[in-house]
Amino acid sequence: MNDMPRRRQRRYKSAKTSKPLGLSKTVARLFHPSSHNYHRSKLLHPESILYFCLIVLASFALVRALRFFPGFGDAILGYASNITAEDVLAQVNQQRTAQGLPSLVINGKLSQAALAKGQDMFADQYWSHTAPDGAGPWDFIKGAGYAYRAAGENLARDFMNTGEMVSAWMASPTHRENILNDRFSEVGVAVINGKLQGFETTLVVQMFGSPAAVAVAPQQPVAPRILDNSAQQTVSVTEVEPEAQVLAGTVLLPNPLQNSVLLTPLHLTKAFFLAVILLIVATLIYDGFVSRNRKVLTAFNKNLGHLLVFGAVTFVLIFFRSGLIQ
Amino acid sequence: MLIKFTQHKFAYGVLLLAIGAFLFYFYAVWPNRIAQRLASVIFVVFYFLWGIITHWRAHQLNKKIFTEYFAISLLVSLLLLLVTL
Repeated sequence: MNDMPRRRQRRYKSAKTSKPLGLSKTVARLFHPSSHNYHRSKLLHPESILYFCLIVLASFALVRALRFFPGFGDAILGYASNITAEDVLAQVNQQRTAQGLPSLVINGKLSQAALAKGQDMFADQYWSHTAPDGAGPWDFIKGAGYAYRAAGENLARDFMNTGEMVSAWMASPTHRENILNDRFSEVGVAVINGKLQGFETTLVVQMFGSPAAVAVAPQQPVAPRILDNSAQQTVSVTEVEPEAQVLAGTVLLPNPLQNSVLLTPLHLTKAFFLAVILLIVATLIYDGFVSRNRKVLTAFNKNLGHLLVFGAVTFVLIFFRSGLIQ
Repeated sequence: MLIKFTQHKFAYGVLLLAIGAFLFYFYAVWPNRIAQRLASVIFVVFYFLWGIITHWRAHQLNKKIFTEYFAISLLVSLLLLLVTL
């Protein structure tokens, strides 16, 4: 200690003798602008905002990590959707009728293909038109014994109700093209609940088709066409299906998750994020109010700009709609 | 705060316009998450530049202001990008 320069000794001494701040003083410095925090709430200092960034990242990671703790995750997270195959068919037909197109008829084989596709997605844990083993929608359709001239597929997950899901499909040009395609006369729908990538969800698989049964004259093969988001294919097939088999019933599945609604991962993420925003916005308002009363000289008020931006983010978070389409 | 708003009508007008355009576009492109993320990044970059330029014009730009806008922009971008994942 004696070898230390005098300046360092003095610093060491003062650091050792300074008392830790009480809780009330610490909280006051976090929120109340004063000479101790350069007349700006400590929570609004850049380093504090960077800590908030870490909190946001940590909360997001925490919600995602719940999948690795099934017991704990299941106690907090849940999922409920009131989507039914009948509703999907009714609303899709409503869209077609509005455009002057004939309604689609449920086909049992297409519904079985849709069900097989959904079950395959849960079994192999993927979310795509193409399975990890390379199987496309057409393989499921052919596997169900449906011979088609043209076929298409729309996928959806994480939607709470049918209306939002159909709206999302209609807002996407490629999915809309499938729904309003005048070549399609039949459809199969499967609504399946299960765990995908660690979280409970509802998958909706919609398979469109026009049967090859009506083929009378030999046709020229048409090149397969696959669109970006929704899958659609037009092929020439020689196999002809008997009419009686084409008009099979729909596949409807039980909805075992309807009673287990607690919080979805999105709800939990939104709640964490909104809590962070609420704390910052409240501090911004308080800091602005105190500064104004003290007439602290500022040529440009940062708080108002920050408040407007956080207001926009709050709006986005509150009205952000769940659901993905493929 | 109201006084500041009237003193810097143009700057706040531009910011309000940008917020309105961002919110409109964000919901117009739904359910396209990629477009939503792109809009979020553009909006955050705009806000950072808006903050820097307005403080520079008011002759009040310093390192602290710069880091504050950087930190706020980073936080906003994280909130918007993570919710659209």
